[in-house]
Amino acid sequence: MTKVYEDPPETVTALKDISFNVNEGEFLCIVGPSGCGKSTLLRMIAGLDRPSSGQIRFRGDPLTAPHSKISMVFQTFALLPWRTVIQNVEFGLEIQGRPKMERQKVAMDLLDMVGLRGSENLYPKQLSGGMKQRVGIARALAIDPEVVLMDEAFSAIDEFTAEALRAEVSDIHKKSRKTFLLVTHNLPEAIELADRILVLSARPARVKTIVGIA
Amino acid sequence: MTPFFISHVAQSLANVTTGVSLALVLVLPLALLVGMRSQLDQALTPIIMLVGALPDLAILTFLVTIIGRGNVAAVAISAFSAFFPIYFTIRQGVKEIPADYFHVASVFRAGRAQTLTKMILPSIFPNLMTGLRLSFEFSWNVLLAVEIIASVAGIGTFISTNLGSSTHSLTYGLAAIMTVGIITITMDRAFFERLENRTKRWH
Repeated sequence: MTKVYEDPPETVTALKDISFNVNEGEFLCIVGPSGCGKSTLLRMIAGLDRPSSGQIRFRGDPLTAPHSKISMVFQTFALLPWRTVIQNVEFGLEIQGRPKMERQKVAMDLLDMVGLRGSENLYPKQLSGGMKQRVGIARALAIDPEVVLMDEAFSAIDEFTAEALRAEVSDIHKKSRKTFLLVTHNLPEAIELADRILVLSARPARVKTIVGIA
Repeated sequence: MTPFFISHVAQSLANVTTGVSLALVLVLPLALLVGMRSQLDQALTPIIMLVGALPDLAILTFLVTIIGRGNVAAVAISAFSAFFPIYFTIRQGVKEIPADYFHVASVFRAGRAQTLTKMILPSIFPNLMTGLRLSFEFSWNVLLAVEIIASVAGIGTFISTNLGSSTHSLTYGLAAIMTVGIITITMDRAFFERLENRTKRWH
């Protein structure tokens, strides 16, 4: 599976003449200076934004809206505060109309995997940043996506917790063989996690270079 | 004394409740829309603020000369008073919803109805409770005042007619005033505070 992108100018010209492929199962990091438009790029892949010209294709079909097989982890965690941990993880499955038993099983298995068994009935306000992001990751994985988008997912967490979380995500990537796309301004983080790194220049961002990591 | 007097109180209460509920049904969709679409907000909110700045008691007593003094007038008065607190608290609530919550709803492909029921309404629940409390209290006070001024059916009229005459009725009048005060506090504590505390679980 390859995705072919080509998204030139936005009204404030955030991105210009961007074109690249993403390979199935790879961990691709998109790096660039703050404000260069890399989050905009990710949002377009998530279906939250549209390129003003050009096209994003997923498995050959153009992408114009959020796709059921493309999921996202947010920098701000974005957990819904009135829902418990397990209810947050189940969110996508609820939208899909899956039965309660199935939702609970999937959610608990994922909470197990991210090390949060026992915390399923806590509310987000009772969690630390690292725990919240684990919930965010579990929520993203619950819908069994093919692609996991991560928008500066480790940037709002303290370094010690972020380090542990990166290792866990790397593990999840290796075991699940899903495609991961991480936007980050943290170059060491990108080098640690990525199979390939896409480097964007400052706004208006252009593809500067694509580096493969052994 | 007691049964006669209670029926007046009950009448006022019922009218306020009906009025507030009516306002809620009418205003909630409007406030949601206004909170989400800034163009609509910029067009509509200044007008509403203008209307809200007008002297309500004067307008409402005037309204009574047109509609009459019965329950219909009381409900209309309550609804009108309830309009503003509900509109502004819900509008504010919607505006405060973090953009990322909308992104979450989008990414996980919630439809419009699902976004409303699973994200927007729970988000604004605290604001809604505050709005309801404020509008109920405001409505209650305004209705009482209009009842006294314009003799609209309800406990206010009871109070004014009794305070106007002999010492015997004065007692009734004062008792009624005390009762209204007690009801106001009770409503606030027993009912609304309970609902607002529910939201403290996650806030």
